[in-house]
Amino acid sequence: MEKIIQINYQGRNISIEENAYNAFQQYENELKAFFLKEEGGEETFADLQYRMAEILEQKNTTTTLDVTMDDINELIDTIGKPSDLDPEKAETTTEAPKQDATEKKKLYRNKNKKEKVIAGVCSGIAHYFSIDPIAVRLMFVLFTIFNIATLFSFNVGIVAYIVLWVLLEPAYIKTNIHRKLFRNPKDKILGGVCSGIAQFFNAETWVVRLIFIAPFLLGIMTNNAHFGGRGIHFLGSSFYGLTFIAYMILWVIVPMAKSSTDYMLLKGEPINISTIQNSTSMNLVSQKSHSGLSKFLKVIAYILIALFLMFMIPIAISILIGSVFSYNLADIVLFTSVNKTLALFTILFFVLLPLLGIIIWLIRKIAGYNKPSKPLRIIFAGLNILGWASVVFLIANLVKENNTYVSKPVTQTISISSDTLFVQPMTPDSTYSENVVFELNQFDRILEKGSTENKIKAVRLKYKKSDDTTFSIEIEKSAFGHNREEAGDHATSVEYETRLVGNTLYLPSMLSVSNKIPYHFQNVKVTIYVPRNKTLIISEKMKRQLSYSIRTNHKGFEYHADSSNETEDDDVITAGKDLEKSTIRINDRTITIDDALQDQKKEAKQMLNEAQRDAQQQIDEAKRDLDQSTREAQRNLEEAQREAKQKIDEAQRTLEQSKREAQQKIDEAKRSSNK
Amino acid sequence: MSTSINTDNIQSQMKKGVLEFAILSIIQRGEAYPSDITSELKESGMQVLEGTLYPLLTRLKNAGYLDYRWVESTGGPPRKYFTMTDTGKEFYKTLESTWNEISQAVNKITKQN
Repeated sequence: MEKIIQINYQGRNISIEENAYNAFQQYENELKAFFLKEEGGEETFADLQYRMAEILEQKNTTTTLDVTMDDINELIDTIGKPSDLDPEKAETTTEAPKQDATEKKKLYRNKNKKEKVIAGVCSGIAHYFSIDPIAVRLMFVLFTIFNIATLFSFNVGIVAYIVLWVLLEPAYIKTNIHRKLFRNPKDKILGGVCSGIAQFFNAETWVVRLIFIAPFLLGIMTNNAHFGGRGIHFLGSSFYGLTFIAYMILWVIVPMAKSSTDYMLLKGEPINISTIQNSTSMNLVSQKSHSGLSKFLKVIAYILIALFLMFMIPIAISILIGSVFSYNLADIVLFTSVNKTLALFTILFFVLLPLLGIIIWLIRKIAGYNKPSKPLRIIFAGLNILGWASVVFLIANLVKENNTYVSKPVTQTISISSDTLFVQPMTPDSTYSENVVFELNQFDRILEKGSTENKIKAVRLKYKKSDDTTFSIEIEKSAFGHNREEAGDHATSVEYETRLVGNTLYLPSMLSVSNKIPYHFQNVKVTIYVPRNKTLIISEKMKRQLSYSIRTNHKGFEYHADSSNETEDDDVITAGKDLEKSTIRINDRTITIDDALQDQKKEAKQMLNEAQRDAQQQIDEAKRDLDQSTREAQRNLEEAQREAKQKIDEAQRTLEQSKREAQQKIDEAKRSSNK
Repeated sequence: MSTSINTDNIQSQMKKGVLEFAILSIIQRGEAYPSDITSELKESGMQVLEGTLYPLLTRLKNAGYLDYRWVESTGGPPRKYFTMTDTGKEFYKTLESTWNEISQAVNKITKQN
């Protein structure tokens, strides 16, 4: 069925099939081009438009049917094609596009006010390449935005536009848009954007899809290194998000190709009656009318699916990796072959299969196989159901076995002579290299299997401050079980023996349980109570064996980074004095004394400091005095020298004068004697 | 222009000259609507496209031989009806006498064959 549209032509309402209307418009344009060439042609054309409207309306009113392609052909037969009307003139009409062709070779900017937006640069470029001006504008705008985002010192897009504005000759161009970007509903996965772009550029659809999806896959793969949880970041990061955002924008902006004409515009086929009639794109897809809201919801749904996948795929992969490495542990937890089979099915059909399914689905979608492969689907569904069933049964089994939690604490006092308690591991360190970055064997070391019992690293160490005067240790064994009694049995079955030698407490880093029954998540919590002002030193080896997960409420403890008698990284913990004041006063006198001593020490230090300061001051003063007197002496000396010099000068002067006087006298005497 | 004689071309030239005369002759009988003119021409054996007729009418009108008036039609915009002016009538008479001369001459010549 053709789509029927309602048009108003020359004041008449006409219902017409869409392709017929397109053909009619094309014909009308041809007529217009033909008639506008001759004098008075405008009037003729206007008259003909009235006439054609009349003919079209008649088809509607007399037959009560919509105007079809046949009707349009009939109309064309009555009015005549330009080539029939006047072959000579029709020749000149065919010359017109030739002129266009020569025009096309030069790049102009479009001064056609109906088509330009700013200065017609984009429109001119579009005309030059005979593509949709919207595409050029979009590229320009995106480029400009990208340019701003990357903070170049000047904006290439805007500068280029201004340069072209100045350089390009303006010309009146009526863009005969040969191509227009549409979304392609015939070959779509999400919105048909990729396939539309592919059609527009004559490219293979899968290539465009790959370009869009490659950053996505890249993102998922790199995110796996971090075990998921970075989906949001993924969208924000520059490159991955770019194609995703571009896709969403195009989805919203670009219209869906709805008619055969749209397809021809998309593919760049020339539109005239013959191509419309011959076009294979005539058989249209059934048009489901999507309201804006439902389309919006669809987009949201796809975004959610995308986010979900981004989280789920890494999680699924990490479960797989985890299950491989924690195989040993799973072995003793599951214990029975039934449970083990269920677990295997879970891994295979609940985790692995959907993962494979998603990958296959993606590949098929990208490759453009839209038809679902039925046998594949049935197999997939069947196995997935098996997977779901396995999960349910497995969880049910495990929950049934382990639905009650019981913990049994046992407290014992440790009497040691010294004020310091050392904590060391029971077994000396293994020879494992500790510097492996990613410890693949980490999971193995959780469990050591023996002939009658399994050793499991399920020990936690904790220390707390105590009000007692002696160290004490609480060992809390806990386990899960089918009921309280069983859980209690499981807890007490745990073997965990500590040993005290001198003032050193040896703690095993693993607990032992029988390997005749499944592991019921037995674990041991060791709490060491540290009395006030006493010190607990947990050795580095111990910490390492417990994977550095020693816990405390740090309140009331003092740490010392340096320890004189132990290795570098031991934890030296002293139950400090910053308890509540009342407790200090009543219970612990040593603290007070200690405090006083501390105070005295502080005071002494202060006094010393003061004395030092005073001494320094005096020295400084003396120095200053010395300086001053030196300067004074210098001054005196200089003055004396000056005075002496003056006296010498004076003496000299007197001498000279007396010499002169004497000479005078001599002269006088000579003269008088001469006389 | 090509030197070879084109049959189609001569035919259309013959028709063209006669066509204007035939149209004027229909209009001089009284007011006429273009599509009525084409149907009358068709009945009498002359196939004319409306796309050919309309520009002719416009030209004749602009030359002052024809006039038109708008006539209200049932539903839709008014139709353009053509009438002949006095100069048009004179023009028609000269065309008519020319036609008579030519047709007599041509008849005489063709009958001798």
